[in-house]
Amino acid sequence: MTEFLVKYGEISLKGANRMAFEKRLMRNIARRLPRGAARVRRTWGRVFLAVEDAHADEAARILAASFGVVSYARVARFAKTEAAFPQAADFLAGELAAGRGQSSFKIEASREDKQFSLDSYGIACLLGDLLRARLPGITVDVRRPDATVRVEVRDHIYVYAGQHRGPGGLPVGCSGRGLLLLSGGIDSPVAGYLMGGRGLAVDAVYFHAYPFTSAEAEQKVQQLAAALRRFLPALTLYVVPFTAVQVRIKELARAAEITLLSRCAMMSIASKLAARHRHECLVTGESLAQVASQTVPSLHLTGGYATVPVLRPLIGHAKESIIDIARRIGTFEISTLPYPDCCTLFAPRHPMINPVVAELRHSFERLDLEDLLDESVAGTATPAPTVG
Amino acid sequence: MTYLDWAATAPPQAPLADDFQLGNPSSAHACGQRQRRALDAAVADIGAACGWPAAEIVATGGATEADHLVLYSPLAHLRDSRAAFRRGIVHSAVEHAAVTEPARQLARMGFPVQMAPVGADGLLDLERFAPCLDDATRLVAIVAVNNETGAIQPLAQAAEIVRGHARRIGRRIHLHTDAVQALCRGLEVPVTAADSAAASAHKLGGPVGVGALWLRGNATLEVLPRGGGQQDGRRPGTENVAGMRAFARQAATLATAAAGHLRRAARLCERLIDGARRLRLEVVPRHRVERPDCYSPYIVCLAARGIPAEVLVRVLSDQEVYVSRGSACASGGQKTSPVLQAMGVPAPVAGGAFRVSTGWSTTEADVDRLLDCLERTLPRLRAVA
Repeated sequence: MTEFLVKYGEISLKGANRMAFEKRLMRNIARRLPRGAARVRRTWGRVFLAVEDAHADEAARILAASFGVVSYARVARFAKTEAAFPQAADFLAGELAAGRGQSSFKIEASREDKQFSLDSYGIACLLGDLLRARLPGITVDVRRPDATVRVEVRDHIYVYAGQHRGPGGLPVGCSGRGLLLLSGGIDSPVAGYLMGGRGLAVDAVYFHAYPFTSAEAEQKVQQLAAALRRFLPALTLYVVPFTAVQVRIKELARAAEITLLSRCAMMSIASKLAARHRHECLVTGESLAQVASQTVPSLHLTGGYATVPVLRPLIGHAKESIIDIARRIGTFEISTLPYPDCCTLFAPRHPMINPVVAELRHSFERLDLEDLLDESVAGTATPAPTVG
Repeated sequence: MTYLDWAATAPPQAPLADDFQLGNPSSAHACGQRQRRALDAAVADIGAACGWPAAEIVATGGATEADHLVLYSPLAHLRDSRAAFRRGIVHSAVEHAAVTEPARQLARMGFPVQMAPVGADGLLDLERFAPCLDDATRLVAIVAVNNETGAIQPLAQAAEIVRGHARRIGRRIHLHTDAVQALCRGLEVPVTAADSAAASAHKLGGPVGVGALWLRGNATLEVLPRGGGQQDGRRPGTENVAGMRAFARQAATLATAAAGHLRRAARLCERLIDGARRLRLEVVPRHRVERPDCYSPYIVCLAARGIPAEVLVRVLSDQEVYVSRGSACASGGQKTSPVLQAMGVPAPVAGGAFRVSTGWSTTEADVDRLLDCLERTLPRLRAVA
């Protein structure tokens, strides 16, 4: 068996709800591993995950992508006697050797059990000597060590080195369910990721206007969904047939209004889907003033067609910071594939940026879209997840 | 299935088992020599089909490589860094990317590169061509038949201008032509007015990755790549004997039947253009209607104004009718074709331009099928355009 020690941050601040959050985190981690292969337990503000050795690498990947996890490390547990330290040193020497370029270390020891025969300093001295004997050339550096070895004396002696960072935040699902409007662009996957980090269980909806948008554009969105599933493993992608709506808008609306009216229709369809699939909110990648449909009056208009709250986590983000996150979570390279998500045919040269909300609402009503919106919802498909 | 994208690639004809034999044509033993003779015979057949002396033919891995051997030759002539500024390159504004991209790269290195403009008819503007040549000009590239519009370039007149200019400045100027869409099709294109030409096997139904460079015997051009010294140092690397044999067979077959194929292509072209005009499609350039002789009937560029060609190609593809958006090599991108831009085609037309290209087995039924599909599709798309 391989055991991991998992530390979480914000959850511990959550007062009376703390237990629920912890349980959610444990369940999220256990669910992603094969049934029976993992055992998760919780103690002293820590979660311990024990997995069969064959699943150790997979478990590490999962912890690195589980919201709520602040850090994790492979941990070894020994009987609470001084005689256990040589064995502990063997384990730690292996861990340090596995981390490349680590030529110095320090030891941080803590004792919950103050009755233990050695104090923290004594533990550090003993273990330090044992490690130096096992790793020729390694030195102790208490100020700027390459690696920190930690020893905790509790019911057993726990030792670990090489802590890895998790994504932090709150465990997925503890803040309810949301539906992300996912385009092929850079922003919306980042918005989904950020809300996942706030504990929202995110599903996604994509509006497909074939043949005006290509099959490749849909595949690209599927790839984005697959990339998001690394952090949001249960994400379902809904693909909405949007061509009929788009064509009606193009035929009847004034050119400058097309983009905004399309966004209104998307909000309306997404709300209908949310009601049907029990999502409590919509999530968009809108960032204030980034494009014409993201000015305050535009957001006022389009947001008015949502029947659940619209969360816009990127609203105050600059494009550069959005791109940074997109690169970090591996969606940037997919988003920048050259398939446009919305055909140029439907993009007016001069889209409206300051709509008069009442006028545009009137324009939307005149389109008489209700039947087509319902047909789009009825025709929505959930393609099988692609491997990604 | 209605395949109308022959300019991208022609239906591949199966290679013969006999094409593949043991032996490196550079080996001295009997196996090698047998391969050498097979290669020589293939090269001779290609030469006969294209009108080139066998000794002047270099086997390559496709037309792009053949273009590159010539286009990158200024680098081989570079004796010191200052020399870069003394070997100028001029190419037409309607070259294939296999020519424009190396030229762009050389320009970044400091070589003087000029682009000779074309008229709205897609043909090299001879009056504006001459002033592009200057004292530094050493290499000129003019495509024989443009791959997007089918425009047959005035190669003979351009060659005369180049020769005259070369005499005046007392220097040799190498004239290269990408002849991929010109050869073995019965077209009257004076490819040998140039000093070198690039050919591709797969555009004729031969294998992909096989091509040839015709390089006039007295050309002083030095190629950049170095290696085993094969083909008199003109192209290093073991020759693809099997590929060249298959190429030769196709070239010979097509050259024999070319006159008939051309007549048929002309009929199909006329039928297509008539039908397209009935459907209110634009013929690009419109000049080809009055001057059909200046254009290859195998390649027709049409445009549905305001309808992105990408969408039209997709809709036709769903009906198993295969045409392409500009050059197949560039059709993945969203940019307007540089060729159409150079011709001054307005953006809504250029954006809606698609290429229909035919070949030896295209029938009237194929053209009619395309026109039928367009007739059914266009109203729906026009409604939203």
